[in-house]
Amino acid sequence: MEPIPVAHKSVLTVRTGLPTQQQILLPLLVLLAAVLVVAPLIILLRSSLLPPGELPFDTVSLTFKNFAAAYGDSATLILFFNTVCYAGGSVFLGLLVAGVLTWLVERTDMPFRTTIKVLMFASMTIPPLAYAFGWVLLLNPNNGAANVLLKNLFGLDQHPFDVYTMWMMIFISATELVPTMFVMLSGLFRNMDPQLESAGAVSGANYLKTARYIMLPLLTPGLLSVAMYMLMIMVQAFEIPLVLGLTAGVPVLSVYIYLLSSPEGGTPKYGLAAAFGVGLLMLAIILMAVYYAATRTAERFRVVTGKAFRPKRIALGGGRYPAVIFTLIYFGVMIAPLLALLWTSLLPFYQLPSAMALTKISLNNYRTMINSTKVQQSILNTFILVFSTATLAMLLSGVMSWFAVRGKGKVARFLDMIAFAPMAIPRIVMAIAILLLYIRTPLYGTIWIIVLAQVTAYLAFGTRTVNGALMQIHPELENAATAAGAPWLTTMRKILLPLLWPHFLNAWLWIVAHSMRDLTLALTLMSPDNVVLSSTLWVLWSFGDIPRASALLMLMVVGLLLIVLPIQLYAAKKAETQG
Amino acid sequence: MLTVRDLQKDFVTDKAPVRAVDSVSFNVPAGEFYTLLGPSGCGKTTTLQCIAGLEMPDAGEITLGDNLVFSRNANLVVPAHRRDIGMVFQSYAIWPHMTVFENVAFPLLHGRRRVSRSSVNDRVMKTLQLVQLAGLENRPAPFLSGGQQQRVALARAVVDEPKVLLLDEPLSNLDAKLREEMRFELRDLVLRLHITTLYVTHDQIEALSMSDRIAVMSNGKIVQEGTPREIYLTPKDRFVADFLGKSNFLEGRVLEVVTGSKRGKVDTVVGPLDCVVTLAVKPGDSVLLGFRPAALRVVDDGCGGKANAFRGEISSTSFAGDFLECQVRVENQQLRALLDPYREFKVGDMISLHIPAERMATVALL
Repeated sequence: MEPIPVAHKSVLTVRTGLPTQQQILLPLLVLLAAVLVVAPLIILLRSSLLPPGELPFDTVSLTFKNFAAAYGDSATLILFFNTVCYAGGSVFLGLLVAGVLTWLVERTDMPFRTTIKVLMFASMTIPPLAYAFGWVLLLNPNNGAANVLLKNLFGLDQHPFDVYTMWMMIFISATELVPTMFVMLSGLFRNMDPQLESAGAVSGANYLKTARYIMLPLLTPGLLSVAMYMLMIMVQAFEIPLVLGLTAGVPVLSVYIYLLSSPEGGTPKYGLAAAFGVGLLMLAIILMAVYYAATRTAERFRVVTGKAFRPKRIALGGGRYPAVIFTLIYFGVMIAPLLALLWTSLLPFYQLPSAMALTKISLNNYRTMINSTKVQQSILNTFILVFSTATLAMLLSGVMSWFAVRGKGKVARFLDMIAFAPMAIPRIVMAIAILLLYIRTPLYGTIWIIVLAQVTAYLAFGTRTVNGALMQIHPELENAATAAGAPWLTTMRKILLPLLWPHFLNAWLWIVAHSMRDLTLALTLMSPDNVVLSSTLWVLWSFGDIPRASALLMLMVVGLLLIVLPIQLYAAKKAETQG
Repeated sequence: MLTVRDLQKDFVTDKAPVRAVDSVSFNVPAGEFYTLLGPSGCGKTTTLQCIAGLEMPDAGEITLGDNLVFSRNANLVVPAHRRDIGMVFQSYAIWPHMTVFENVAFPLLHGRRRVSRSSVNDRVMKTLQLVQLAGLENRPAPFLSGGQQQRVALARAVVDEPKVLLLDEPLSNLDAKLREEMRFELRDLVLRLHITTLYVTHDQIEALSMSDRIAVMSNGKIVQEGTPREIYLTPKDRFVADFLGKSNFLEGRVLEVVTGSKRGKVDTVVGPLDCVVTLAVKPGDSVLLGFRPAALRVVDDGCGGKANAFRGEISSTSFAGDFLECQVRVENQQLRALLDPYREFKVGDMISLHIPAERMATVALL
């Protein structure tokens, strides 16, 4: 036993009393967090005050010209209005459908409940680009397959739908949100003690009244917090507004910022993009504040009693048929765009389904795509991107969460806050900020700048997951290892990691899936050398190579399902056996 | 073997800092079983965690064996994993992803005193034998009963033969019958190993039946230190008396103090009583006398002017098997008495009670 001296001045280390390995790690971690999260935000603010045409490190002059240009224009008001309408509309519609479906699956005796759950989980992995492209194929005003079909069927003069409208954007985004909402709401519905409902029933209320006066008020805070969370996601949504909103003439903020930084012609207007970025950031921060307030109420109304109870299911009786029809319509709507993609991917050029077209079906597009060196390069890049992002983000989340949950005092709280901050930083804002920060470094243009941006973005998700898991682990399990003489890293490796493994794996997988489908960061930070699958898809599509884009998208969807589903099943099983 | 001097620990809460441990000092010689006893929140567990190194004290000094492991003045702290201790936690903290063998082998494989792989097996098996778990070494930890988990925790704490064993309420999660068994077994094991033990509990029976010495803690301070007998029979104040089981209290005025003999006479509602004087009092002071319900004896031939005897009426009885618990009314004062269960007393009976002077002591100045 050799005593180590405690530095007089270092109040921090003495106070928290962390042993040596932690004392080394903690300052490094704080530094890393600052570089990842704080530095880009500072650069964003700095860039918004740049004179037009300048880069942040090239000049020291400050000007409010960008803000004047951005917010002095009435078009900006419309931009914000569009963003809020789009986000609000899709969340509202999505929540309505998801609410009904979740209630049916969790609280009624409707048939095929397990099948529905599995389908919901599977559809969470499908990228929004797939829906956007698929719906364009179905409902574009010129030759959308569904449009033509409906027109001929009912003898209409015009195509009944136009995919390039705000309404369709809202509708498509809503269908895409439903699976995620379903998963979030399931817990809420499942954990509601049926005794509360029984109490209502005993006092003489019928089911509708019980639902109206007991269930709905109890569920409101939970629903509200899910809605706010989804709103935060949707004000920064990028893919669907990019594909549909531009043609529709209803740009939203995220797409507009992207266009300013990567214009089709002319020089990028980084200063103006940053000024809009600051505005979007403010909007997101307001939503975050409301979300926080809403979740606090959710705590107060917590209906999770911790008791194991069997949920009481409502017998639907004759109501079964409309319930099943409703569910079938939903899944029909989900599968239709994928079928359109599949059909298109098998043809040499886009054609409506017909007997003639059927004779031209082949796998040529798939072959071309797989044999293309550019595609191979992007597949390799994608592998590097998703696996490094997921692994690095989870490693960092694990360590940061440990200090945040087990540590004491201000440093712990600071780390926790920093880790959660990316939640409120819209993806496009993060992309612009990181681009401006690293544009003059060798990092720019490589795949690693996208890795860096994604690691930062997924830090919030990673630390929330690990925080939750860590709080379930009794600190005495770690203390016992320390008392047994194990250094901190050994305790982490031998005790905590094996216990948290299923949670780590699940979160890692979630990040893999989302990292692969992300277009915002990949596209904004794109260079010829760091093209990944999602950006390749967008490039193919915007050049009008629809069948090949469809083929590549189908490959990506199948690949995602093949990676995600088996590991998810394994993790679920493992989590079950460890109790 | 273990010395704690002027230990102090503050916790910063939302409102104000709370002094959880307030200048606590004690010394545990090698091989002694020393207990910190007190209600929850008295600072006993915090003291233990400071000694283990899991909490950082704000002031004071801790010595384990010959090694200073914490000293504010010398600005020195030895990290927890390098302190020569074994510890059993309240929740047992058995690692659920390991077998019994892996749990017990952990300190030998990853701890401060690593041994060669070949001797790990020997040491673990020997220790498992000691805690009567031989044959269960390959069982996964989640498939153990509460008592078995307790034994694994104990085996894990002593397998690398630490200088000091720290036990944090190790019996509080067991059911009553098992708790009683484990009390004797634990005491026996510690005696056989000759290991210096610091035990933390809020259970007075555990403290009294297991310890060589006890320190009663309240509000972060040690209020009385002594052998179980001293602590129980001559509590220093009302808190100690109350905390260690039920007590009777009588107010009175000091009539005389016999210098040099710790004896005195106090006038009370039941008459003048001879008693032990542990406080610095002088005649005329108002004091509180305390004595245990078991100290009272029934005298069948009446009081007859005997010293320290008085008459009372039984106001309630409760048969508890090992004894008959009665409430006796003496001059408007309710006293609790534990009487011979073979005797039949009824409510309303008049009885004469006697209390020997050495069984009653002044516990507080009023």
